[in-house]
Amino acid sequence: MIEFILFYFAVLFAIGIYSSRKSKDPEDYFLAGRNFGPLVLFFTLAATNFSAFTFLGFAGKAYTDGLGQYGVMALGTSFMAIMFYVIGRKVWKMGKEHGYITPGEIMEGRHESRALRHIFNGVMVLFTIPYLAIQAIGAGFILNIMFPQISVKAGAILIMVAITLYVISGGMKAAGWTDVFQGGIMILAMILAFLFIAHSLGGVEKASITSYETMPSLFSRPGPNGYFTIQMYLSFFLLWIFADPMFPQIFSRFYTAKSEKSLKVAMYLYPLLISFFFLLPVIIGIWAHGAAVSVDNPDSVLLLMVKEYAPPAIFSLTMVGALAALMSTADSQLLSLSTILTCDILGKRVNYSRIITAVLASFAIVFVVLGYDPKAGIMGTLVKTTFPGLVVLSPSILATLYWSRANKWGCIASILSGEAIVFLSSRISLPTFGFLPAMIALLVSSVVLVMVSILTFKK
Amino acid sequence: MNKWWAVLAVMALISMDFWNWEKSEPFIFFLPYWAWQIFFITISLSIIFAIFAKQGWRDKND
Repeated sequence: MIEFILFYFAVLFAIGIYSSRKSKDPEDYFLAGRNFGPLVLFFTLAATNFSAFTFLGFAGKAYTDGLGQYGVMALGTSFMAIMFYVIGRKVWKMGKEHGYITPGEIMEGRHESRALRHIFNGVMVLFTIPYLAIQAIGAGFILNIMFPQISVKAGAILIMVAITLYVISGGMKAAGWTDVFQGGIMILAMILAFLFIAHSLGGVEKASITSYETMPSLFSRPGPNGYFTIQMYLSFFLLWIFADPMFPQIFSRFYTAKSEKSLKVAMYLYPLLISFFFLLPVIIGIWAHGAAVSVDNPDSVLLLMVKEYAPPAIFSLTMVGALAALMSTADSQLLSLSTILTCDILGKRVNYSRIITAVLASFAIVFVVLGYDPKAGIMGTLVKTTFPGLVVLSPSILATLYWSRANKWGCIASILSGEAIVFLSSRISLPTFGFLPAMIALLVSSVVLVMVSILTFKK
Repeated sequence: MNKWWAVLAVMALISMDFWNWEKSEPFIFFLPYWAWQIFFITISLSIIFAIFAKQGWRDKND
């Protein structure tokens, strides 16, 4: 076990050090010199988006609510790949033409409003910190299962320190190249875990049938607890399409493409990977019912299944795979957030970005120590915080890229009204008609954008 | 361009398979029918996007 972990970290730090030698200027550090080819861009987009939520949260949610989890995740995320064309292509072009580095610079460039840029970037930073902390929590779980003497919180802090070190040394190049390595481990580990668990349970068919006999409702929607209603299904479908490109770690990847070919390849390989990669943790979570595994925390069900039904070597590899999934997301989040804060407040200086990276990692640790509610689970925490907060940015960026009458007042009003709904829905019960509150926020921010832009339009 | 959006809209409509709610059968291999439908929709999207990247996504002049 320890050999796997040491080898994994050795490779990460080696890539970090190698990348630092290859970085010559701020654009190299922040955006890898805008030089990611098709496969690197594909792997870095996938590894960045597939997080602790994918590796641990999917299995946990499937354990409690059934196979509907595959539908709500796979469909919306696959359709989201079209945003690599709708948003990614334009962002890439504008970034190359104007030298933009942060997402908000596009807003400022089009609307000539620094306030709008700060609001846009500020929302991204604010709502990504809980997501970053979730990665740390996931790491804490994994280390705690591997080494019970390390508490969840201590493990979370250790991993955040490790991530900070290699991000500080190598910037975007380190994040991108480690994503290729980590993405490979993550995919291999998940496939092997699935195959070995299936073998131990008497084959895939027997494993599913045993679970079906134990709890048939796992295999239909709305699932055992009635969670996957039609409104929820539609909500998540739209949420992934509009929220995922607003993750700063995804948005900033659009700038890093070497050419449009990189974006094209990423776009069509993305759903292909999702088709099976999202199914595997979901089905393992469901099989846990047939296997009668005792689960205290649903988010640990995948690791418990692997520990129980796969050889020790596969268990170790799966642990490293899970670490890879969350670290590849956390490093990109740290880098993109520190890039935004540095470029917006202090200017495009690499050394300042390194300091900001360390400060942000500290914030994430504080969230872990003080603010995380383990009863909410990974998905519950993100659905309440990050996803609704970021989805309201999508109308203003789409209007900025495609609608000539959109203006700064419309965009500012859209973002503020959407966030007001997000805030209100976290405090009081708003009428949502069975949809996620994030959908109401998306609707309100879209309507406000159109109305205010029209009312304040000047020829 | 419009034909590509039409294709995407059809795929989205098929994705919202409300008629399969409350159903877990027929079971094919180790999954219910509707889960295979999702699996093949995602594979189909990959193929559609690949064709779109070749024919509909113009690198210049747009």
